[in-house]
Amino acid sequence: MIKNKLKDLTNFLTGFIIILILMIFSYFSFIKIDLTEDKRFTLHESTIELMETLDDVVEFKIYLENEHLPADLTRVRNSILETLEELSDISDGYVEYEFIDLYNTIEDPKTREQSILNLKRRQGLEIVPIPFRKENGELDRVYVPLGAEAFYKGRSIPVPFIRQAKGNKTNTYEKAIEELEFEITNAIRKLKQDSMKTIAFLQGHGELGRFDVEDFSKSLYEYYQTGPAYIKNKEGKEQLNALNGIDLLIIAKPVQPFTQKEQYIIDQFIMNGGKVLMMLEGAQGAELDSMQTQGIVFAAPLETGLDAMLHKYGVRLNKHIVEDLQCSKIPIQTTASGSGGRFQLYSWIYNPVLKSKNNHIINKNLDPVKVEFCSSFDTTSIEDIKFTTLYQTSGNNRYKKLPSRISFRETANEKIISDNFKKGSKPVALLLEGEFGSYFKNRIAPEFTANKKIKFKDVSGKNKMIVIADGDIGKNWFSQRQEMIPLGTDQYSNVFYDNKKFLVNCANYLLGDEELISVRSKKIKMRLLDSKMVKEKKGFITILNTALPIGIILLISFVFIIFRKVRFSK
Amino acid sequence: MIAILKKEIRYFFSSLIGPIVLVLFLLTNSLFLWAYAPNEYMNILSSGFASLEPLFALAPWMYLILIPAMTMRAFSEEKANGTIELLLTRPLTEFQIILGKFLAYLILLILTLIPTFIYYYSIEFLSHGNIDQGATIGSYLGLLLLGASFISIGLFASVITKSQIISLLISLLFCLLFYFGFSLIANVGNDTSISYIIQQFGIEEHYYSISRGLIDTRDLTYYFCLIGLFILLTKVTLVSRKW
Repeated sequence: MIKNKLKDLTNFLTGFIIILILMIFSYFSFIKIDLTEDKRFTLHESTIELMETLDDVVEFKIYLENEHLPADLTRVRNSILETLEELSDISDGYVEYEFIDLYNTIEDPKTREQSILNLKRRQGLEIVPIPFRKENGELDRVYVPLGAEAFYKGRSIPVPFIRQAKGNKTNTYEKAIEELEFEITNAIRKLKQDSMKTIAFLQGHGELGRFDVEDFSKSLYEYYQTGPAYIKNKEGKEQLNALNGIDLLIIAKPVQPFTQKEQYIIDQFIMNGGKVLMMLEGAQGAELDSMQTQGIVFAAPLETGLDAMLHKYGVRLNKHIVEDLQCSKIPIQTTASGSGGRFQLYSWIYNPVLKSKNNHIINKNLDPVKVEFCSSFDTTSIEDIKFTTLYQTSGNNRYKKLPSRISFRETANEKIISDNFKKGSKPVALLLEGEFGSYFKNRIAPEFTANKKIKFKDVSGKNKMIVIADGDIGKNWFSQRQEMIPLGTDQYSNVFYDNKKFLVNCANYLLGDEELISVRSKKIKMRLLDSKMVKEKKGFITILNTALPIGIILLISFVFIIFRKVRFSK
Repeated sequence: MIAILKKEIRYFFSSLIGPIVLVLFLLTNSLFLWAYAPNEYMNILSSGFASLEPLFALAPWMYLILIPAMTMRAFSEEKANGTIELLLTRPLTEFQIILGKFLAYLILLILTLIPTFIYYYSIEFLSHGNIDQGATIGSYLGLLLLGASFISIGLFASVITKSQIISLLISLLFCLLFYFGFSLIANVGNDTSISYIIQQFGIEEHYYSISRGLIDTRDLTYYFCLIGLFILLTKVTLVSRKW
């Protein structure tokens, strides 16, 4: 008996120890298998490529470390550790990392507070307070930065792991874990860019100002140097070298004409390989805010001189206003003005919502963009240029000829009959690639072109530009409290459009940074039910999913019981 | 061993315990996931997402109640009736007896899951095939492992007592503790430094990533170890009768 007991207990203990060892061992050596179709838990191909191009050590100092971290933040921290471990592996050790608990490394509370504050103010990292109870029972809190700093060849940048600590905490942390890879590789990419490319917003012709493109330029600022560019100096004289050193020139909604010299400078900028992103209006005077004060506007064709240049490069900017059935809504006052009239949302055919053609890396997987009083393009048959339509009108269109009058009342009162919108679709955003011929070829005196000092070029090398027939596509609005509304937000319906992603993709593509686009587009596919089918088949599906499984079980049990009865009665 | 397995399964159906458990499970599922919509995200049709995630969020809670109810009689009844002695005189090791019972309950568990494939095909139909198949397979695997862990806990609870009610209560308590008790303790505790380690003991922590389609060998090992541990405990309790 005693012998038996001893044997059983030894068996049990052996089993227990084996389990314990297995358990501990599993934490030292583990693999992960990603079953999802979008491979959302696997490193992106471009990440692996990036790791192979590293030629010096990138060091991460992660501040998300403290003995009082709650469990959900610990999960974020461990995911950071795992991602960095994996990156370190595939980069042959070129990725190094260190977790730093500021409460251990800096003894003096004042200096510590200062360095935490610096991380927030200078580096823009979110700080979370974490309450804990001291040994004597007193409540205290520590402040932990939700981010890291990355160092490479003597330069450093902040790496935010959690962008906002607001809203649902669990969701934010889950999202942070999913976006870790992007944040880390993004930091490495930014550090690797030896010379920052320069993007300039052209000024001086009534273009969108600094605040109008604040959101757009802020997203460009992550990768490029951005700033304004003026062709004329303070005395109003054009400077031939004004655009030197600029890689991408953005011309956003100019409303005043360009002088010949200015045209020449822009033309030669393009001939010499400069990239241009133009957002042009075909009409002047058509603005929603002036409509809201006057109720009516007169739109006239707009001639800036850039349109003439574009014609030479291969596209014609149509002098009309697009009316599209696929449009966003705006509030229109329906009762008499005065004592706080009532507003109602109306489909506003002058604010088309353009769907992505999904045919190019620039617009792959992008949601629609919204435009206001846009125009459209026609392409001319120039052999050396390849045209790619990125966004176009829906195909249920009318094109309003200019000059013309646009009023709220007419539009709101008009019964929209889709039969009236018969005109086909036209491109609104176009990518042009190829060798552009100079606008000034055969236009200026030969003595001038022959002058060696001036270095006139009459044809560009391989170059590309993007033209968009709307200026407001890059404009962010401000709320009544003067807070910036993110670019692409429809302030009336709170729908988000992809204006910002599209424009940033344009800039990335023009500057040859396609890999930035592909990383950003690692988007988890939205898997949705077909809402129309759900509506139609709701009852049927509900009954099917209730009755069929239960029916099957009842049938099996019934057959089983009958079968037993028959067998027993024998 | 096969004989025990067969005997157990026969018992489920003839005693109507099996059909009742199955119907209860399926009926509750279809109510929450398809018919009744108290919470937009629980109901598949009103959530609008082509995903079986609501099922994998709901099912652990159902198993938490149903599996202890199923397993409570596994050994307690035999002990109360004295048939356990009969069982043990058979030319079988204790381990084979336990395994036979474990597999029988596992088959019943699989039987509860098979009819939910209809849900999968409904979603596939409603979304034109836009459901993530790989992730769903992972989720089913996770649910199966979770259920199997509950079964092993239930067997242990059943072997330590003659009373079925006590067995039910003990296994409920243990399942609750292992399912989410540990994460609860981890989040309540003031000393957050060890909270992460405590959380690692819980099933929920290991269920989370597998139910989204990421199979991590650490999670798999956890489940196998948990199941192994309780089967070991069951065995040692069963043989301790001879001491």
